[in-house]
Amino acid sequence: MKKYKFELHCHTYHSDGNFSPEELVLSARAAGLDGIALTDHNTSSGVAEAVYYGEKYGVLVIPGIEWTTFYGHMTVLGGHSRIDWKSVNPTTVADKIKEAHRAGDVCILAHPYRVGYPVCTGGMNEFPQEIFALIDGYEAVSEDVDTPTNRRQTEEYLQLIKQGYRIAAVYGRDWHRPSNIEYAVTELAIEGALNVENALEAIRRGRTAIIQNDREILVTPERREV
Amino acid sequence: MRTVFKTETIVPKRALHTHIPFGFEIKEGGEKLVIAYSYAPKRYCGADAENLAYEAFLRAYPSDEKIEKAAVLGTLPLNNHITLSLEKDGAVVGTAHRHSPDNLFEITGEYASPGFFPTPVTPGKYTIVLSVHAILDEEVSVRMEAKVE
Repeated sequence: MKKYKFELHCHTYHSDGNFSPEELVLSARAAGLDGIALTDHNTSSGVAEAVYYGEKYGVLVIPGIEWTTFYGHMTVLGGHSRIDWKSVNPTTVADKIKEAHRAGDVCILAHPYRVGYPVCTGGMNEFPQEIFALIDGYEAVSEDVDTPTNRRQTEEYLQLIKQGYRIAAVYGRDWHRPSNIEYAVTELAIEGALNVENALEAIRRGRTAIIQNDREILVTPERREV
Repeated sequence: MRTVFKTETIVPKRALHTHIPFGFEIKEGGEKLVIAYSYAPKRYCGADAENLAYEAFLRAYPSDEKIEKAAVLGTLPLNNHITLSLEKDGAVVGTAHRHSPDNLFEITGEYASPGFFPTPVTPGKYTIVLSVHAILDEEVSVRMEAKVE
């Protein structure tokens, strides 16, 4: 088992980011990351190019998408499912997560307490409680670590764990462009080779920790056993 | 270039959080499909904008956290936001999740504008879907034109 640093929530100009796929990969390498997940809003059209540059520059790129719905945002990692984001709403979201799982993807609830509509549509989670029994990960910390809404996210995450839900703690920088925010990374304890499937398995197994400046700020219970 | 679809329409405020389909048919294929898409207004200039943003902060922030006025003002202006997706014969061609209200998208078999997958422009049933993420004005005017080259 070896630990690797990831940013699991990234955007390019294939949605509303400023990075090209190559620029994103180079920025990740410069930040010392071992891997990223490309999660453009409602499209995966930039994935092939990002994977190409990931291989070229030595950064593992996990294919993904961010379902940017009107009622909540969900990053879906793996690139196996082909679910139309427009079909995801509070009524269907549980079935869509199950469908993504059947295809081999993992689902992470993004920034559950971001300031929502009309500042950021769907930024604040309005999906039903039943998703907590299904999701693989929860962004317990998002964007700038010092953002006040992170306190609510961390509290809700810890409450869910206390209630017995098995969900990995994940950081999401929601990386759209170069910035100077106080960011963290998600550390995955990966068994075997560093590749997409083993990275996804680390999330499924809860072998994650949120790290800022080499200090653990939140660790999934399962990860403590690693 | 042949125009295969053209419309000017109004999206009313009540269409918030809906997906609005516009179907058209391409009877004779070509090398490239070009879609011009624009809407207005983008910025919401209502006097209640700051209050609407403040209420959004109130819902998201911890109850004991002071909401700084600068943080609220930093989110202004509020915007209308309507994204465009394209489907061909029921299959997704892509989504352009952009904040610009003026867009030109190109799709060919070899390349496509960011957000879309390269797709041959062959005869078939195409659908543009507008997704109304945010609409604060009473109505937003939309223009779309699709041409085949």
